[in-house]
Parts: sequence; C-alpha cells; structure tokens
Amino acid sequence: MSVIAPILAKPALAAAPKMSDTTYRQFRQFIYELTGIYFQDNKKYLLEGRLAKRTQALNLADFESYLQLLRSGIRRNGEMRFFFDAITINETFFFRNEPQFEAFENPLVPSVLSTKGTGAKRLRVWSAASSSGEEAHTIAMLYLERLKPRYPGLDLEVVGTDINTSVIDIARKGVYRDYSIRNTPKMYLDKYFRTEDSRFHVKDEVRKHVRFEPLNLFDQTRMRQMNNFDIIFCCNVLIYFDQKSKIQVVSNLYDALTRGGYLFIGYAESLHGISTAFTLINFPKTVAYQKE
Amino acid sequence: MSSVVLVVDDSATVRKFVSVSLSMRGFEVIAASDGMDALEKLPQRRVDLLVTDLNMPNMDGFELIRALRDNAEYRDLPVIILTSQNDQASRDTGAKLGVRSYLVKPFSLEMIQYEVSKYVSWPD
Amino acid sequence: MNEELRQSMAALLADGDPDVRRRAAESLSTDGGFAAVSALAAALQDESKGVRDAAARSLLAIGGGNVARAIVEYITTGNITTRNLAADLLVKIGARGIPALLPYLSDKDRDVRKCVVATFGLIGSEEPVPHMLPLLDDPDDNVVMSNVEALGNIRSVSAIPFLQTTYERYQATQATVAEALGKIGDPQVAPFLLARVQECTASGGADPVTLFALIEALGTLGDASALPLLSRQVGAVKGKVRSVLLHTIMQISERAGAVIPPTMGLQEDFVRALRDDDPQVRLSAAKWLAAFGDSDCLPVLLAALGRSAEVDAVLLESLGNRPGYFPAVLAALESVPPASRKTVITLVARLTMNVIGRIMRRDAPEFDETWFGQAFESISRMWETADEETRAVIVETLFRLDGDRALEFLDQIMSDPDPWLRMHVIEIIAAIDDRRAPVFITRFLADDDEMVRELAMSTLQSKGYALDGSMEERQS
Repeated sequence: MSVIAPILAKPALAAAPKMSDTTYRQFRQFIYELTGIYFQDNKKYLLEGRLAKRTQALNLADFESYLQLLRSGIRRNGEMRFFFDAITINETFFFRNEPQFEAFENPLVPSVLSTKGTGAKRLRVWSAASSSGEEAHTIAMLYLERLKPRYPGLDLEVVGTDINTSVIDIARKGVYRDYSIRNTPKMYLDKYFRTEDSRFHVKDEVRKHVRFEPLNLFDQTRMRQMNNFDIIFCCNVLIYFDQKSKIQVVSNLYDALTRGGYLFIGYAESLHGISTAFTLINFPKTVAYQKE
Repeated sequence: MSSVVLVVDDSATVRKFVSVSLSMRGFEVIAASDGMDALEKLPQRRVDLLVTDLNMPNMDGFELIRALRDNAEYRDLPVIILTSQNDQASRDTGAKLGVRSYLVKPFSLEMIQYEVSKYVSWPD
Repeated sequence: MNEELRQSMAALLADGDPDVRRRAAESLSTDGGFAAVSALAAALQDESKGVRDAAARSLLAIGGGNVARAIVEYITTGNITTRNLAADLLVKIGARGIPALLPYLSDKDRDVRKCVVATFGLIGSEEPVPHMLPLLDDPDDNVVMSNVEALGNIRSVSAIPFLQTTYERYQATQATVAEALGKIGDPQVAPFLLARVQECTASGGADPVTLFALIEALGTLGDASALPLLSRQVGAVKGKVRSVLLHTIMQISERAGAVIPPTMGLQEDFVRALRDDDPQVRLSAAKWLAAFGDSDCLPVLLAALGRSAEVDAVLLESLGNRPGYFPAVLAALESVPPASRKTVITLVARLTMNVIGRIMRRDAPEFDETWFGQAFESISRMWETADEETRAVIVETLFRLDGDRALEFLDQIMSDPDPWLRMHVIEIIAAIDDRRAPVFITRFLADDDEMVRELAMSTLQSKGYALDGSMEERQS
C-alpha cells in the first residue's frame, strides 16, 4: 500500500489571501470599461492569481490598493501594459484554422482583387488579437506560397495587433517553439522557417510583410484609425466580450473594411444578434462575413 | 446513418413540433432561429434537407435560400418552404429559386413527413 | 436644432456614400427628437445593409414609444426585409411600444395581425392580453396559433380558461395550447391535461405531436396522482414521445419525493433519452441512469460528460460514489470524445478520493493496487495534447493518484524551454492542496526567465509561504 501513504500524509494548507467579492466586482467593471472583456463569476481565481504577482511587484498591501493605482495613481500609465498582459489569455499556433486559410486563398482574395479592379497593387490584412503572431505569419506564408505566383504585381501588408504587449514583443521576434508549429505542414516548415537550437525562426522574406502593434479593440479612438483593410481575422477573442462590447467591436471592424472586404471570426463563434451589416458567405467548413 | 434535416423558424413552438414530427420517423433534426443562424450552423454539420419559414428577423427565408443557391457547396440542397404566407408572389419567388415544395401553415404531422420523404429517404 | 445634427440628418438621407450614411446614422443615436427619429426610420429602408444595421441600433438606443410609433407602419409594407426588421425592433423596444401596436390587432391583413400577436408574445407583458383574447376566434388559423403561442410566452394566467376552450374547439391548435398551458405553469390545469391524455390514448388514433405536448406540459404541472396513468403509457408510446414521457415521470417523481424503481426495463429508453435534443430530458435521463443504470450504460454516460454543467454535476456525484467503476472508467478514458475527456479525468480524481476514503474505513475489498498506477500512466500521457483547462485537471488528478510520482512528472515538464508553459504549471500547482506544492515552486525562484521568477515569488508570498517553502506565521 505504499502508493497510499504519501497521499494520506498531506496536511491542509493555510488559505492564501483572497480577493473579496466586492473587489472582484470592482475589478471586473474596471476591466470591462477599459477593454470590453468581461470576467465571469467563476474566473475569480484566475484574476487573483494573475494580479497577485503585480501587487507583489509593486509592493502593495492588497488588491484594493492595486485597483486604486490603476484608476488614479501616478504610476498608472507605466503599469497599464503589465495589467493588460496579466488579464489576457494567449493560446494560438500556426495554421490554426485551415478552412479559413483555404477560403482566404480562394475565392476571397481573388474576389477582393476583382472588386478593387485591375491594377490593384496591395492587399491589406488585419490580424486582430494576433497574440504571439502565428496567425499573421501564417497569412504571409500563404501569400508567398500560393498568391504571389498568381498575382506577381501584388504586395501584401499584414498588421497584427493585440492588447497584450508581451506577446507583441514575441511576435516581432518571430521565434517559436514546438507547441506553436505543431500543426504546420512540413513544406512550409522547411521553406519559411529556419531551425536553430530547437527554435523555429520565421524567415525575413515572410517577416517583411508583417508588422505588429499594440491595440485595444475597445479603444474607439484607435479603432477609428484602422481603415482600408481588405480582410480581417478576428478569431477567438470575441468570446471574452459581452453582448454590448461585441456589438461595438464588430461595428468598428465593419468600418475598418474596404467595400467588398471580408471578416473572419473563430470556428463556432457567431455574429447572430451582434450585427446584420454583413452578408454571410459559406465555404466548406467555414463562414466569412462580407461588407457589401 | 439517419438523414439530417435543418429546421429554420423564429417560432420555438414550430421548431419543436416539426422536430418531434420528423424525429418520430427517424430523422435527425437540428434547428436554427433564422437565416443567419442557419448559415452559421451549416459548416458544422452535414445537412440533407432544409425546411424554412419565410418571415424571420436577421435574415428572412428568401434571403437564406438565395445565399444557398449562390454557393456551390449548397446549391443542390433540397429546400421545403413552410410558411403562413399564402400569396402568389411568394409562391412565385419560391419557384424561381428552385423550391419545389411550398407548404402552408398550419401543418400536420403527416403533411410534413410526406413532403420530407420526397427528398430524403426514411431511415430503415 | 443644431447645425451638426442637421448635417448628420442630411447626410443620412442623401449622401451617395453608404459609409457616410452609416456614420451619420450612428451619430444620431442619442437624439430622440422627432426629426432624427424620422430620418432613422426612413433609413431602415436604405439599400445598404450597413446603413440599415446602424439605423436599427440607433433607434434601439433611443427606444421608447416615439420610436415605436415611427416604425410600426412598416409591419404592413410589402417589403419582407423592412417588415421583419421593424418587427424585430418592436420586440426589442418592448412594452413602451405596445400602444403603437394595438390598433394593428384589427388590421384586415392576417399576416399583420399574426405579426402583432407574435410581437406581443415576445415582449412578454400582460398589458395587451385582454385585446388578444378575442383573436383566439380569429378567422385565420395561423393568427389563432400564433396567438396561443404568444399567450403562453406571456405566461398569462387570465388566458387559461380561454385557451382550454380553444383546445376543445379547434383540433389543429391542440398541441400549441397544451404547450402554452405548460409554459403558463398553473398546476390547477393538470387535471385538464391528464384528462386530455386519457382521451388521446383511449382513442388510439391520437396526434403524436399533441400527445407529446400534453405529456411535456404535465412534466411541469403534474403531481403524483398523474403517475399511475403516465406509467401505464410507457409501453404504448415510442421514440421522442417515450423520452419525454420518462422525463415527465422523473420530474413529477422528484417533486413528489417519490423514486422510480429500477425496473420496467427502462435502461435502454433512458440511454436513448440521453441523446435527446432537449437538455432537460437529457438531465433526467442522466439522473436515472447514474442512480440505477448498470455498467452497460457506463460508456454512454461517460461520452455525455463535458457538454453541460448540470449533467456533469449529477454524473460526477453519483458515478464518483461507485468505486467499482474505476477500472471501467479508466478503460473508457482513451475512447471518450475529446469534449468529454477533461470531465472524465475529473471523475477519475473523484473515484480516487472515494476509494481512498473506503480504504481508510477498511471498506474496499475490491481495490487493486495496480488501478492507481495504470490510471497515472494513462492520464499523464494525455498531457501533450491537452488544452490549458484539461492540463490543470490532469495535474490535480495525478497528485491524487500518486503525489511523489506527480512531482517527478512535473519535473520533466518544467524542463521545457517555454517560459509560458512553466508559468502555467506554477499557476496550476499553486491551486493544489498538497504541502509539497510550495516546495516545488521554490525551485523557480532561480529560473532563467524573469517572468517565471517573479511569478514563483509572488505565488509563494500570496499563499503565505517563506521563500524556502515552509509555512510563515501570518500576522492577522
């Protein structure tokens, strides 16, 4: 019965300092007003864990003091980027949603180009909530591999944005681990990555088509500066918003598109009840939303 | 494997009763509340037949059918219209969109089962 | 009217660029004045979807009776898109729009009357009910049916006697009336429903949809006196009707504090009901199967895990109390659908606790030492391909199965070069109820990566530990 003894021998632990429900609600409201992200009741433990680190780093006595600082302290501006980093979730990998990329290659891009007319020189794509950049780099690779041969005069600009600045830093470096490339076809891996010390470096010819910037999707002023995108990918981020914020963000995305441009959202996500401005187009295993 | 029918109607009662009527015959029924909901659900399941209302919010029945006809993937999906609209103009629009079954509510169990059976076979 | 407003309205109505019109529509969302509302209402017919969408949102933001009055006539237009858009908006505007809609109850177009009653049903207020009741005798069947449905949606108790009369008068409406009565939820209606079930089953040629609706309604209203009749019907009905019948029997029994005996060969029926599209039917089936099902139904139960919190709670509770299931659950683990895997691993953790408890009470003769070892191996293999939440459950379960071995396993993971992964594991371990957890975390105070070091430190401090992993006295 040696298996049992160690299990039986553990004592109960002292309880860690917790965030009160009132404070949690205040944080929730604060985060919501700032970013549109809504923390459900059952995610309190997550916020506690992630903010404890910041509270410690700033030598503050409790969570309430941290909230106070975020609201009005002198150190507020410098702290914001760490705060955003702490509250966001970053799971992504290359070639994550193949049906979308297939539809992107054909017929979306040809359709966009035909709307723009002959002589169209540049395609602009926005990877909103780009996290560590896998999606944005995937798009650039697809362009090099499948689109550029067909449209030699066409340039591509991909803009990747995220509220979380640490992942923006990672995206700008373009260096990835096993976990990120686990779904990548070998041909792409060989052709567009350089392997070094079991890390995968995205090649410069890909990276030159992509740039990354911090951006809060809920920041109206900054969102209004995003314009003239032909295709927008906004995958797996709307789920963090409540109904009202989704409506605002999606309305901004519509405005950011060119006529005839397309929006992709995540698999099993929906714009039902969020917007009727788009025309829905079906593809094998995926859906895109077109601005007429 | 049983055939899958997608029922599209903004009335929850209609969705439920059509579903009961068809599943009694061994069909698998999935439901959507309007055209937009239906188009968003289509990529997630193979569907053999569509039964749709006409008057619905977000995207009406004709707009839904037009979107399907414009799409190579769903062009040949059989469609049954099930509606309380009984005017000639609506019937004509349906016919022009290639819809061969136009059922007028209120519907009976037998009526819906019979019409569906023209397009998809009974499971054994 | 100020200049800016005038310009927005002019743009909305006349600018050639739909993006300009759309922005104009959006900018009018705070102005409730008559002119702005009229302009927005007209924009509901704009040729651009984007403009219509913005106009609808602005009208909704303004809300109230004025907006309802401005758009209500659109429910009579021949343009199906405009009609549906207006109807949808009127639902969202709510009770303040009721006065604007009332006159249309007597419109000569039956589609308009139908639209109005349906809208009232979705608004949900009792206010228009007295005006709706006469339309239970409307010359058009569809108006009557929509009206019945609407009265059910409103949950109008005052409509009950009228609905019962409608049931008796118009056969085509029976299923809809039964459903409405069930929604209204007044238990005094139960004898009426039961008598109708009796009629249906006695005559033999009953409409199955009507029978379905009657039985479903009894589920919410019926009491124990209904059980004998209902139980007798189980063999006489099939498929979905049988599933709902079993669900109704379960609901009534629960309310009455009775228990359905595990006889009558019902297991197969409940297994089928577990796949019904109604989540409440699935929950009832899960309850019965978890309590009375034998090991044959275990694979089906496990596959049902991870889809609904309610069903999970029921199944984890009762299956977790059947330690004899441990080997079967483990065997099934590899083959459950991915959506169920996380919850099945949680179940293994529960079973483990249950077994340990029994061992301590010397009440576990069937326990086999190899169970925990095998479980450990199976579950640790799932780490690679698991998502964040599943990984948290895996680590917790591994600790329950074998704490020391879990630490070795974590050692391997922590040698992964990815700092995000190491931080994630620290977060998971911080939540584990085991005294070795903080000691493990101390190793990362010397990690290569600054973020990892900071997280380790703050985790230890927030849990009240000194930096060597021993417990600190906390000053209260």
